[in-house]
Amino acid sequence: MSDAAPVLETAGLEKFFPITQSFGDSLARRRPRAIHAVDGVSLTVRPGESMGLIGESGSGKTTLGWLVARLHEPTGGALRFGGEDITHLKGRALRAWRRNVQIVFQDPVGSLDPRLRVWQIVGEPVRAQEGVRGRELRERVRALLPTVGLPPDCLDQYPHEFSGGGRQRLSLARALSVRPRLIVLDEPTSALDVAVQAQILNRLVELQRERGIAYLLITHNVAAVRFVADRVAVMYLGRIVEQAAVRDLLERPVHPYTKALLAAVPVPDVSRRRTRYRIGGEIPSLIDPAPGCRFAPRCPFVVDRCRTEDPPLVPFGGSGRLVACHRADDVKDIPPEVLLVRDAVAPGPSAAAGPTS
Amino acid sequence: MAAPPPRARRADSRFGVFWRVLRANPLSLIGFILVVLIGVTALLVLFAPSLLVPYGPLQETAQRNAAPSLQHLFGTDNLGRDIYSNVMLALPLDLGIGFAIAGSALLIGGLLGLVAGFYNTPGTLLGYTSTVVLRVTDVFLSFPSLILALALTRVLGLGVGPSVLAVTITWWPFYVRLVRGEVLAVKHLPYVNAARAAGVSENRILLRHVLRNVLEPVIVYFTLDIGTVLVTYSTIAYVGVASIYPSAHPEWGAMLAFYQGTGSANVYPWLVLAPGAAVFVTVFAFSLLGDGLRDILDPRTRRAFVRGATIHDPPAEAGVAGPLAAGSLAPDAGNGSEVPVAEATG
Amino acid sequence: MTDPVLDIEHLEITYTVGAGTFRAVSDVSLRIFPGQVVGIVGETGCGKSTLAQAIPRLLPEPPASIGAGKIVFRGTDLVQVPKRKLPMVRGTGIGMIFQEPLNSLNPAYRVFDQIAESIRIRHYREMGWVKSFQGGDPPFDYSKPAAATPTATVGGALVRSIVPDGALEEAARDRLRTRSEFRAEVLEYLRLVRINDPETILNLYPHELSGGMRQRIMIAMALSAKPSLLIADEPTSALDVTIQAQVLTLMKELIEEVDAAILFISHDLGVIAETADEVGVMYAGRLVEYGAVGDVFRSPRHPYTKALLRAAPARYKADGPLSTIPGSVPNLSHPPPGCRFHPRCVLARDVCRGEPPPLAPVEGDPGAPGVHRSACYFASEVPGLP
Repeated sequence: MSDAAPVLETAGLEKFFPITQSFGDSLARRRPRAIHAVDGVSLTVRPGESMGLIGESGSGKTTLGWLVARLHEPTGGALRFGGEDITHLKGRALRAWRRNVQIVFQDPVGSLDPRLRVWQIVGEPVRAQEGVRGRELRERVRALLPTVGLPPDCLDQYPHEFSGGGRQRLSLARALSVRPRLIVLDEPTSALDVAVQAQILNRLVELQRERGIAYLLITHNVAAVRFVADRVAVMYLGRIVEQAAVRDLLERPVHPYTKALLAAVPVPDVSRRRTRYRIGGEIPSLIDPAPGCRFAPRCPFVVDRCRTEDPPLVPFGGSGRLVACHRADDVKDIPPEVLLVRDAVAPGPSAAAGPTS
Repeated sequence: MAAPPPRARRADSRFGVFWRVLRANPLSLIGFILVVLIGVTALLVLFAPSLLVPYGPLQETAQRNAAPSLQHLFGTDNLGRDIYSNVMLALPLDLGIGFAIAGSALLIGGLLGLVAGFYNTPGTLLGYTSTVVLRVTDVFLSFPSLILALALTRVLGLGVGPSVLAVTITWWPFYVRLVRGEVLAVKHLPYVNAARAAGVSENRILLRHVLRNVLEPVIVYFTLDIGTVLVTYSTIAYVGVASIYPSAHPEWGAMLAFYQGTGSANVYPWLVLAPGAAVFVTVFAFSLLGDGLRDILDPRTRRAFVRGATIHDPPAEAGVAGPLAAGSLAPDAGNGSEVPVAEATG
Repeated sequence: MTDPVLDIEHLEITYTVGAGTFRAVSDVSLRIFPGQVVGIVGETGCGKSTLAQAIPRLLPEPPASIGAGKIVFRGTDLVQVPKRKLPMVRGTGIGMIFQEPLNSLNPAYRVFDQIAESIRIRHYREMGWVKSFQGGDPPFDYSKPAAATPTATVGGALVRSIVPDGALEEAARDRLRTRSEFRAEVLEYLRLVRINDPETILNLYPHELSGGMRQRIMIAMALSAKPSLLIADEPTSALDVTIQAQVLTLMKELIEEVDAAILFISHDLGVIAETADEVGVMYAGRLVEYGAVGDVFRSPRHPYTKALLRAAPARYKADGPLSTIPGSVPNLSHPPPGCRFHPRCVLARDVCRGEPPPLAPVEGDPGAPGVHRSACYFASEVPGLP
C-alpha cells in the first residue's frame, strides 16, 4: 500500500431518504421523517487496497456502495475521489468521471440486460466512455473475456445461456473493461453456490494483484472478507462501528456488534450443537433513529451512558483500528464465543428470545 | 484427464425457441395459423379479389334471400347480394381498422407512458409534465370507453374515419398505464443502474435498455387488444354511426346493423351469422396468438425451451479434474433460488 | 425398534419440460425415526428441495412426476394415495416450513387468523368432522416416552396427546371452540416460539413483521397442527446472520422439547451441523453420503463431501487461494454415466464411468440404518485427500 493520495475518501457521508408525508401530517406541521440509510460515514480506501464492508440488512452498506459509485447523490457530507470532490457532480462531468469507478451487483439475473448479447453488454462502458463501436468493440470484448475465465467465442450468446457464476463473470468483465481504479462489489457471490463463490473470489484476488485495482467489497460473508480484503469496516444502522485490518478484526473483535456477528456465523463444527445464541432483538428502524449508541438495545454489555451518548468512531489500540464504543477498553478481550452459551439446550425461557414487536 | 478449454456453442436461435413453444402449446399454434390465414386472405382480397370474391358487393343476383348454398356460401339478402363476398371484402377493412386503432393508441399512449414512467423525478420540468400526463390519463380512464367513443362520434361525425378517430382517442390511455407500469418495473433493475454506472446518458438508457425490455409484454397486450378493438368498433358500427351499408366498402359491423335493423335477420339468420362469425373468428385467432406470444416472450418460460444452454465455469487449475460437463440447472419448481440474501436499504 | 415415521425407498422424480426430461431425484432412500432430525445438505440443483416438496406431494405433478419408489409415511405409501385424499395427510400428518416466509404467509390475514386456522383444522379432525389421515387410529403422539404426563413447561402444549382419553362426549362433539379459547391456544404457540409480546403480534399483518418474526410465526403455524413429521426447507437461508442464529437456537430448543421427526434441508453445512442428528449429502439428484452428522463431518468418506467441507469457508482460513471444486453441476437431462460426480473428482477412474456406485456402508453392520454410508468405490481413499 503506497502513500499516494487515497483513491476514495468519504467524510461524514450521509444519505437520507425522505418519507413523503401524509396530508394530515403536513397539516399538523410535523417534521418530515427520513430514513437514515447512511448516517455519517468516514472511510478511506488507498490505491490497490481492498476494503471490506460487512453488515446485515439495514446497515447501509449497499447504500454506501451506491454512493461511492455515485448512483445516489449524497444528502450530506463529502465524497472525494483521487483528491477530487465529486459529491455533487452532475451531467456530462459525472458521466465522464464514471470510468473511474465501476460496480458489480448482487443479482446475477438482473445485472445483465436479457435482450442484449454478451459483446453489447460487456462492451457498453467502453462504448459510452471511448465511443468504440462495432467490430473494434467486439475485439476489445473478445480480448477481455479470458481474463475472467470465459471462452472468447461466446460474444453472441445471451445472458440466459450462462450459469449464475458465468453471469457474475460477465458483470465483472463489464466492470473491468474501462480499467477503473475502484470496483464496488455489492455481494458479488451471495447468490452463488459455495464452490463457484470460491472460484470467483480467487479470480478477484488475482485480478487485483495483476492490475492494482482497489475494491470495496460489500458482503455479509465473513470468510470472503477474510480472503479478499486488507481492511474491513463493520456497519450497523448506517454507521461504522469498527474498522481494522482484516486479521485483527476477525481474531480480536472489540466492538460488541462485531462479536455478535462473528459468533452468529454457522460453522460445520458438531460441537456447536449445544450452544445457544445470546443476542436477542431485531434490527431497529432506520427512521429518525434515537440518540445514543444504536446497538444499545441489543448489546449485552450496555450501560446507561450508551443509551444517551453517541459513541464516536475513534482510534483504538493502534495499528489503524477504529472503534465506536464507550466500553471498548472493558470489552476488548472478551471473545465472541461468550455470546454462545454452551450448556445443554434445555426448555425454559431463553435469552435468545424473540423481539418485542 | 486433461481438461479441454470450454467451448461456446452456437447461440440457440430465437426462431427455434419460437417453434418449440408453439408446438408445445397447440392452442397458440392454432391461433398462429389462423392469424396467418386471415392475413393472407386479407391480402388476397385486396390485391387479387377475383380469386376469392365471386360477386361484387352491390351486385344483385336472381336468388333473393337464398339460404347458404354452393353458389352463395353464406346465402344472399333480399336483393340477391352475396353475403360471402361482402364478408370477404370487409375483411381487409376491418383488419385495417383494428390495427389502425390499436396501433395509433400504442404509439401515442406508449410514447407518453415511456416518458411518464422514466422521467418522473419530482421537481423537474419533465417530471411535472409526466404528472400532468398521468392525471389526464386518469380522467380519460374514468369514462367507460364505449360511451365515450359514442359521444365522440357525435362530435366528430359519421363515417369510418371519424369513428376510428373516436375509438383511438378513448383507447390510448390504456397504453399509457400499461407502458408506464412496465417502465417502472424495469427502471429499477440492476442492469439499468449498471448502464448508468458505465456513463450511458439517460436518454440512451431509455431507448436501448428500457424500451426493448418493455416492448415484449406490450406486444402481447397489443395482439390481444386487436380483438377488443374490433369488438368495440363493431359495436359502434352496429349502432349505425360508422359506415353505411350496403356500400362499395362493406364492413362487418355495418352489415350487422343493417340486417338486424331491418328485421331480415329474424327470418334469415345467415345474414347476421356470417359477419358475426367473421368478427368472432378474427378476435379469437388474435387472442390465441397473444396467449402463445406471452409464453414465447416471457424469459422464464422461454428458458425451459432453450436447448442445452449454459456456458459453465472453467477448471480451477489445469490438470486437476476431468473434462467438464455442460451444466444447466433443473428448472425452478419452487426449488428455491440459489442462496438469496435479505437486503433492504442497507 | 420402533417403526420409522418416514421411509423413502428408491425414489425417482423426473421433470418433463419443453426441452427434455430432467432426472431431479434418482434412487434416494431415507428413513426418519420419531425424535430424529435428519439433515439433507447439497448445493443448488442437487434435488434436495424437490425431495422435500415431493414427500407431501406438493410438487406440481404435470411437469414433475414420481417415477418409481415409495414414500412410506407411517405405514402408508404416499405415492399411491390419490390426489384428493392428500389434504388429509398434510397439516396434521406432515408440516412444512419454507424458506421465504413472506411468500408462505397469507398477506391478507393477521397472525392470529393464520395460526387459528391451522388449529381449527386440527380441531375438526380431532372432533372427527373431517376425515383425518388414519381414520379411527389415534394420531401419532410424539410425547416423549419419559414425560407421558403433561409438564408445566412451555412446551407442554405439544406433549399432551391429541385425542383426550376416553370417549368423546356427545356435547363435546358438537361444540365449536370459542374465539377466546382459540386465542389462548394461539398465544401459547406464540410463546412457544419465544415471542415476547404475543398479544401485540396477534393483530399484525405479515408485512408488518420482520423476517425473523415471520419465520417464527411459520414455525408456530406448523407446530400448531401437531404434525408427526416436520419438513424444514431452508428455513433460515433468507435471514440475516444474527437473526438466523436466533432462529436456529429456537429450533434447537424446540427439537429438544417437541421430539418430533424433522427433515431439515439446507445448503449451509454449519446449519446442518448444529441441528441434525444424521445427515445425507446430495449431489445431482443422488445421495452420495449418509451417516451420523459427527461421522460425516469429521471423517467424510465421499470426495464430494470432502471437497464441500473444504470449500465451505470457516471463519479463519489459512493463506492461499480458496479451495474450489472444479467444473460445475451436471445437466440433469444428460447426467454423466456412472457416478455423477466423476467428471469433477480427483479419485475418478474408469470404473466410475460404469455402474453408479451404490450407497454402501463404510464399515459396520449393513443392517443398522444410521450407519455411515458412501456412494463411492474408493471411499477408503477419501481420508487421505488433502
